[in-house]
Amino acid sequence: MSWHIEQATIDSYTTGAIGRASAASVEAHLATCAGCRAMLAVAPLWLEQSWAGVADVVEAPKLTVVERFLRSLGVPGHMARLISVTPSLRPSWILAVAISLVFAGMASRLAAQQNGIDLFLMLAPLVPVAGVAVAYGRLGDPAYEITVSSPVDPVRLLFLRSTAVTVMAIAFSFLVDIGIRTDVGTGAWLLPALALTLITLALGTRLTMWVAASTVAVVWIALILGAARQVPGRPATVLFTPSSQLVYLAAMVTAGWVLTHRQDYYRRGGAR
Amino acid sequence: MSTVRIMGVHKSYGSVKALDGTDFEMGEGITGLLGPNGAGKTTLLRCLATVLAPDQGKLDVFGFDPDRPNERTEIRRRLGYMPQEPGFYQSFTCFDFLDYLAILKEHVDPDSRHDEVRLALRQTGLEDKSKVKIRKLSGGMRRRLALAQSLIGSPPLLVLDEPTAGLDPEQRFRFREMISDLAEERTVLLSTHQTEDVAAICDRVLVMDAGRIRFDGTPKELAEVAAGKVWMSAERPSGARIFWRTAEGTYRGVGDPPSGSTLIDPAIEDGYLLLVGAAALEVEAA
Repeated sequence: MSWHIEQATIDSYTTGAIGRASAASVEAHLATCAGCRAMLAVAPLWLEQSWAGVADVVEAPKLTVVERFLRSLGVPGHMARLISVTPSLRPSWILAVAISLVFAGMASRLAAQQNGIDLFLMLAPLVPVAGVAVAYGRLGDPAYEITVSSPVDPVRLLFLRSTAVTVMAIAFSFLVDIGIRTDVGTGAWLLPALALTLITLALGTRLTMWVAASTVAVVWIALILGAARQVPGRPATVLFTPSSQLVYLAAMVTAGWVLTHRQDYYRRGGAR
Repeated sequence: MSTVRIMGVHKSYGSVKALDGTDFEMGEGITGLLGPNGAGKTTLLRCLATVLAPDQGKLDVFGFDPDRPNERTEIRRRLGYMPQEPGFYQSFTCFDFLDYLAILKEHVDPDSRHDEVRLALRQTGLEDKSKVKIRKLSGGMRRRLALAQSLIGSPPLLVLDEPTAGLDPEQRFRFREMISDLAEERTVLLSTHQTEDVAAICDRVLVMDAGRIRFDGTPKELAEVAAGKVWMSAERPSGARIFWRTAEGTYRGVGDPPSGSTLIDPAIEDGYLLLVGAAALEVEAA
């Protein structure tokens, strides 16, 4: 290196195309030579890149737990963010779901000994219903009016969020079902959960989302209580027989068909 | 040249007609939409923002038909919409909120998206609030943030529903300044109750009442609607319908001048009052 740094070397240094040893040499000279520092200071590209880098570190949104988890599964960053904004994927909601299911699981364990109503079988199918009801639409999304006027397909967003919420609810339910409950029929609540969730979404094309979810919940609870009165020895099991599971499957297909045919309702900002 | 055409649009909520055969066209520049509460302004803006489908009639935005899903998406790609009551995620910072909405506007690449967010913050004077949580923002700052989100992606059509509502005079002045700066080479539809906003920044004004466009012209032409109908009187007039007592103790009114009154030059507000009458007075009082 001569007495001062050549422009080509400065350019290589600012763009990072220089070896470590040469970079150290440049930096040692820059520390003592104001003239060369001035050359460096006017390198606009370097300044711009450096500032953008610093600004991004300071301003860029911090990743939430859900976002980090989704990214670890290979979900692209922007999709992870779209999903993580879902109101029913916030930590407070997830915690409430976990606590409710654990208590329901414990209650169900006691009920199995005393022939009581299986609270877990009542609650597990309703957890995704509640989550989906607030995942998209005016009920849970404060920025809904802006969201629906954006070019992102609202139906895609609805399904993305509903799927994430449903998967989360099912995962927690399975954990409680396996870990806490002693009753037979692990996973018997799965098809009812999926059927009730799809029925809620289908009804959401006609009713306000919370009315749709409440209607589904009331009907489900009435069915469980009705079954408990009919078969006192094994309360809710009548609703979880193989033939009942076929009914849930049929309900899923029907609700899915309605949803497919009325999906444009959600696209025009119809979710209320 | 017209960029937006609204043709015979009807929209009802039960038995209430919000839009009753609304027709107009607009092009680049700021068009002000004035009207009393319940005139149908918000319904019209929501139809234009593609979040509400009209019962009848057609809309044409940049040559696209919002009834067709693909064309609706094209309109949304060119649209910046500020709703009357924009909702916020209170726990988000301004930057987080805009970043999320930029994703909704298909800005997938984080670097260019963050640049878009910074530009929107700069355009609305919120650079120093980028890391402030929304729950800590004042009402005026939130209105600015709502405007900022509509600017992401530099859309050629801005639909702004009462952007100056609830702002103090200084904030309203800042807002007018921002909107007039943004309006170059853009089509802006601005719904407002404030005749001063229209006088200050709009090239054109539409007056809407009971779901119909009652006036379409320049702000000056709106004022001229009341030419020969604006008067001052030293005595309390009898028989006049729209009048009020001024700070000087005289009476100023709009309508047929009572005997003994003096005609004065009309303002936009006078033309508006004459067109929508009692309904407008209720809004002014509110």
